[in-house]
Amino acid sequence: MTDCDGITDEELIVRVADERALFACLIERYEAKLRRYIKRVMPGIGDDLDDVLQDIFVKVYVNSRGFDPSLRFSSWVYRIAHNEAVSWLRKKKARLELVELGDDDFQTFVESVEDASDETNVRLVKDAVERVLGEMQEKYRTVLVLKYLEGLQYEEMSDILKMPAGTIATHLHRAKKEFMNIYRTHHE
Amino acid sequence: MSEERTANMTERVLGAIESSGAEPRSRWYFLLHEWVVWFVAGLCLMLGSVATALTIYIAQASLFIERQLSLSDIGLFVSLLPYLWLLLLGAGLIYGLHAYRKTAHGYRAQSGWVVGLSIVLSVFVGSTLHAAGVGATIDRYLLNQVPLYGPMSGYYPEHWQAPHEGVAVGVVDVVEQDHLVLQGLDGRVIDVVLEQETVVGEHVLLEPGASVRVYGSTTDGEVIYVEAEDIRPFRGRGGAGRGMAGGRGSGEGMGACGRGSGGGR
Repeated sequence: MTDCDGITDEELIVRVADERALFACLIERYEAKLRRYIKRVMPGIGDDLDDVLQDIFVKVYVNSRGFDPSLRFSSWVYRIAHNEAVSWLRKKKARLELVELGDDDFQTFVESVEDASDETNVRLVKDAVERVLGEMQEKYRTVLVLKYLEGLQYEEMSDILKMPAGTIATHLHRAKKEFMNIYRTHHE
Repeated sequence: MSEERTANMTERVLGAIESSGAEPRSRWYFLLHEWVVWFVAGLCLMLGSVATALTIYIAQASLFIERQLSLSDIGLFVSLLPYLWLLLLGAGLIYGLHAYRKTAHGYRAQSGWVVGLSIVLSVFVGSTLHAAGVGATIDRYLLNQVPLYGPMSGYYPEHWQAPHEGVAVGVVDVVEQDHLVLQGLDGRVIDVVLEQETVVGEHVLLEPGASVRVYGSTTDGEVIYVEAEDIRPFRGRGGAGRGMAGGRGSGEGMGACGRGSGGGR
């Protein structure tokens, strides 16, 4: 295994073009995060997930010299992942499925989305939230996932989605609204 | 399990890179892409600026028709709008915004700011081009060379051709101290009497070959006499808007400084 302890992601990606072996470190650091992110943003991805992940990492390698040092590496790699996931969605016209949430993620999420925390039956709410996320428009689901499940700041979300921070805030507001509308529709 | 999966993914990715012979793209590829995007954004800004220069020029070349019209003649005003240039101005702004968004950090700015800044820059550069006579030169060239350009840019000379009502347009034939002889667009000869009070627009160079518009009062007769109150450039052939007053002053020409000059009323 390649030893890359103490080397930052940003330093690694700059060196990857000349030392391919170092790329393994980046894959190790980001595979789990990207796997989780893609599953949340594209809930219908199923068996294609590994192929999409492979394509993402190959793209990261091929474009490694285009890394913008003014960005965090994580923002840049999430951007590539997001673009790849959206292009997969367009290609496959994926069916809707549930978004998988861990218990901790779910707790963070329900605390962040107004009203949902009032529910007494947490298990039922969790199921409902997963279903609601799966039914949302991709662009709104993405901002909710990035903000509340990945825990990113507006600036990072702006770098990933290539949108002004103000537009991100607007999308987030609309996303919450859409989330609550769908949620209420299921519970009336 | 998770470590095993990561190991698999690492092998899988490195294997795919190896087997496909994928190599990191050169730094030049990304630099060139960035330059091309900036170049396109600059080109769009230039297009917007030229369109602004033409719009200003055509708007100025259409001034003083208001004395002929009442507010009910909206249709005429609408027909005089330089649609072509307004459309190109819009296209320049839209494509410029689109190109700017493709630059490395272009996505960070709000669209309103980018469009606002583009408009300010287009107006600033366009005004400079207009002042340098670029708008007039392009307009004259296109009027002479492109048949459909006239109607698309609001060029309707017949609106200005009413010598019996004191509005005349034509090409200067003879220039003397107190009068001009114009060759009207319909071939009629129009004698224009210049008074001490006659205002000569600041971009008008009175010399043979120049296209001008004259506003004043008139008398009926074989020869039409217009007592000029105001003389402005006219689009089309000749010296309409060519250079600034005094810029080409010659023995036979007469610049704006010869009489009451200025921007009119």
